[in-house]
Amino acid sequence: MQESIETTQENLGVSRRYFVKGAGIIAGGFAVGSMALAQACTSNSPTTTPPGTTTPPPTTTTPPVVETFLFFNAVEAATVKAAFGRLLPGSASDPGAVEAGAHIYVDRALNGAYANLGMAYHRGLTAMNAYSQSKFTKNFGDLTTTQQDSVLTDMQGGTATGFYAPGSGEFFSLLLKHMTEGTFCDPLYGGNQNLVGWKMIGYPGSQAAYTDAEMAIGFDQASKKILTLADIESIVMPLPSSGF
Amino acid sequence: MPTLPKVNVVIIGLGAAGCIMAKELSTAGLKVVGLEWGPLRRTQDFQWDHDELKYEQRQYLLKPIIDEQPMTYRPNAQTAAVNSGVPWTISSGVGGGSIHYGTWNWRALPHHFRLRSDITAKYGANALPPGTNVVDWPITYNDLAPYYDKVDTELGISGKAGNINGAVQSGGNPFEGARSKDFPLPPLIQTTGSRIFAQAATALSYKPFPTPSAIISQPYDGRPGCDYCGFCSAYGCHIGAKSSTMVSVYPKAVASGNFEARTGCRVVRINKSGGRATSVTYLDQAGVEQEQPAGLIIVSNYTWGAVRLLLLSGINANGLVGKYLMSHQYQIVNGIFDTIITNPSEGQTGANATIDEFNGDNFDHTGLGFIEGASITSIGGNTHAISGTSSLAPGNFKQVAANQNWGQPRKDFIKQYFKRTLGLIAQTPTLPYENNVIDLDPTVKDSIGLPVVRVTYSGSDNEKAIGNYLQPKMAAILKQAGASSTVNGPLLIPPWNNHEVGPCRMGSDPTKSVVNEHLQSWELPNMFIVSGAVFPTYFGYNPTHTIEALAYWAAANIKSQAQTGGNLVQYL
Repeated sequence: MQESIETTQENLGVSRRYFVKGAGIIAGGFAVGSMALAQACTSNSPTTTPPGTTTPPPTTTTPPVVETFLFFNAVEAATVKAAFGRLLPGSASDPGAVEAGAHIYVDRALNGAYANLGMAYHRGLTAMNAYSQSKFTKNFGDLTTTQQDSVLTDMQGGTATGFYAPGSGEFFSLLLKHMTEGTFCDPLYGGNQNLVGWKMIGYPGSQAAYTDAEMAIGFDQASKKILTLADIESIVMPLPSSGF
Repeated sequence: MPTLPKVNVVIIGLGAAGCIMAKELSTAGLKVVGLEWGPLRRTQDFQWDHDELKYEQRQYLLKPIIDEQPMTYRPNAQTAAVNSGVPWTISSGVGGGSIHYGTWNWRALPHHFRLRSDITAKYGANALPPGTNVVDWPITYNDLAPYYDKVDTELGISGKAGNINGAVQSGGNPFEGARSKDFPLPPLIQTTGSRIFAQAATALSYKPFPTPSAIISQPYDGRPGCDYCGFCSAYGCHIGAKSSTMVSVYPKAVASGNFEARTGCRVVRINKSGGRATSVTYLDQAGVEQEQPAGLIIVSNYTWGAVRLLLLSGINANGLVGKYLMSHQYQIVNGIFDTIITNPSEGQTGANATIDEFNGDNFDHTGLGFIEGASITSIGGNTHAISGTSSLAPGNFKQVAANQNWGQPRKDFIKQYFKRTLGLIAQTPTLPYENNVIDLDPTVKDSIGLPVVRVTYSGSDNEKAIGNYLQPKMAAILKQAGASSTVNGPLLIPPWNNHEVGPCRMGSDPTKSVVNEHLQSWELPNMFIVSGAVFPTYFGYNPTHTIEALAYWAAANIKSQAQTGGNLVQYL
């Protein structure tokens, strides 16, 4: 039992002050030396599993999200997805906002935390497609990427016509903001799928701790194994003895 | 309306100052009730605080009060005040701003307590900019020093002393006022950005030192030491290592048996009669109006709430409540590095370094055309994926067309530079200007029909001049550190940065101040204002440590009078 907890601890790359839920009776009693832990903390190479132990399932791979939408209709979803694909382009080998599922994130948020922005999106996306029709006789999602960039540039500059609340520049900023949130949020929110956003920029995610060595000049934060909220949920943190 | 049984003391607002008052007075044997608008959140409520979207982007800890109690703003009296598009951020809940703060924990310099005397003696009365009312504090650094010590010890502050009993200590701030002893806890492990800054500053002959921080670097007082997770400023602490007043002194107030905290309560009025404050009227958690009589009434709200409550209660006999609002101008310079990795996501802003060569009157201002200055601190750590990429656009660092700030150019830029950035910040104080005021908005009301706070404020030439002087020096440090490009932030910013102070100034003359040297109201002798609102002038450091020291200072006077049969006893 103790061995498997150590393995989990190493995989999570956290300080030995913490322990995994259910392991309370051996709290503070880890047999692993500090050097080994330091290596586990700083190395991104796969950890070797001691014989006779169980490797916990990987927790940082987000299951694929089916592209069914809670808020957008099909045209709106296609419009947002196409716009995000231009704001932060990507491909299977070099993922961007769409590969991160930023459009899924916005759809879920508009059905929840950002419900107050629902009308802004309905109006803004309608205006975007009307402007695309007027300029290129097709909906935004059906334009060439060059044409899409031209529409987005007009929106950003406030010269795209037919927008009123929000204005075209304002709606562009909203799309950019939500694209960024959806690409770089915790995967719990429906974006940053498979951690592609965090991998893109070298962000280590929800680490529970950094060491002196990891904050030295010359260390690269991107060498840490990325952790998510789901990963650290299983770590029991120390608390003040007062109960507050 | 039901009237509750009288208590010795009622405290309005259980933030940084209110929790200290609660602890000091309840443990001294007084019966104390604390009224707090927000909730009580314990450390375990922050177990999953490593969530940038929730805490930083959607401002989980800061938002609720604004939804119900908006404020309006105008830069000057000639402009109409607006109540939308202004991102006011106010903390609510036990611990107040000390729950989410970045934890830089400064003592003001001895100079800051005698600002008018120092400036006029050295540069002449004409050096004081027109439109200001610069004064000396009614107390000195030496008066407050023992109470700064008390904050260090009781809350748990980490740092390196620069001056112990007059002897300058290597590695600390050589400009600071004398301390009686070193910090109770050693400095935090420094972020990568702090180390890069300190190396460059040293190479340029400055004397960098670890910024004092309200985070315990080692286990202390039953709390675990910091783990450097990096989710700190704007976040609650998931292990209670951040020395908020909620984890440090609040539990001791509760343990005294003399203290009752009522959360979710909204104070609407201080009642007065016969030249004294008599009770506090508030809406309880159920929205039911209650009246709590008390011997002493302690106003410990944030600056906005303190002024608003006094004005709503008709407490402003000499007309000075709301005048001389001051804030900080955050003058920031950001750098990007082509080769050096700065690890901006590791550790917290609390674990940084500062140089103080350009703060206060630490440098000669002769011929410069301005007075005062600011600390310059690195902002390593605490940078997360959304905020870090949002602020990184090619156009911020070089001349490009607007549409180069998105698409493939933006993607290439953030891939290259997200982990290669470092910012420096100078916290330039505004002077007390006659035209910077808070009053009640004549038309806008809150959710229960009471007038909201109207803020009239702008920075001025002196603050601009400080920024123009400091920003090139900050850029030079970043260049020395290896930055390939730097960009200056704005010279002046509006007052919604949680550092607003001043509009209930303390003083020794009842016609020129709102409270006396013990923070006792000149108008109602059993009312105290224990809040940043009492600062008569400001300084180039974060305000919280001084607010907390003033709380211990004010509490010491009340305790002393209660124990020795002083004047205040008649009200208890």
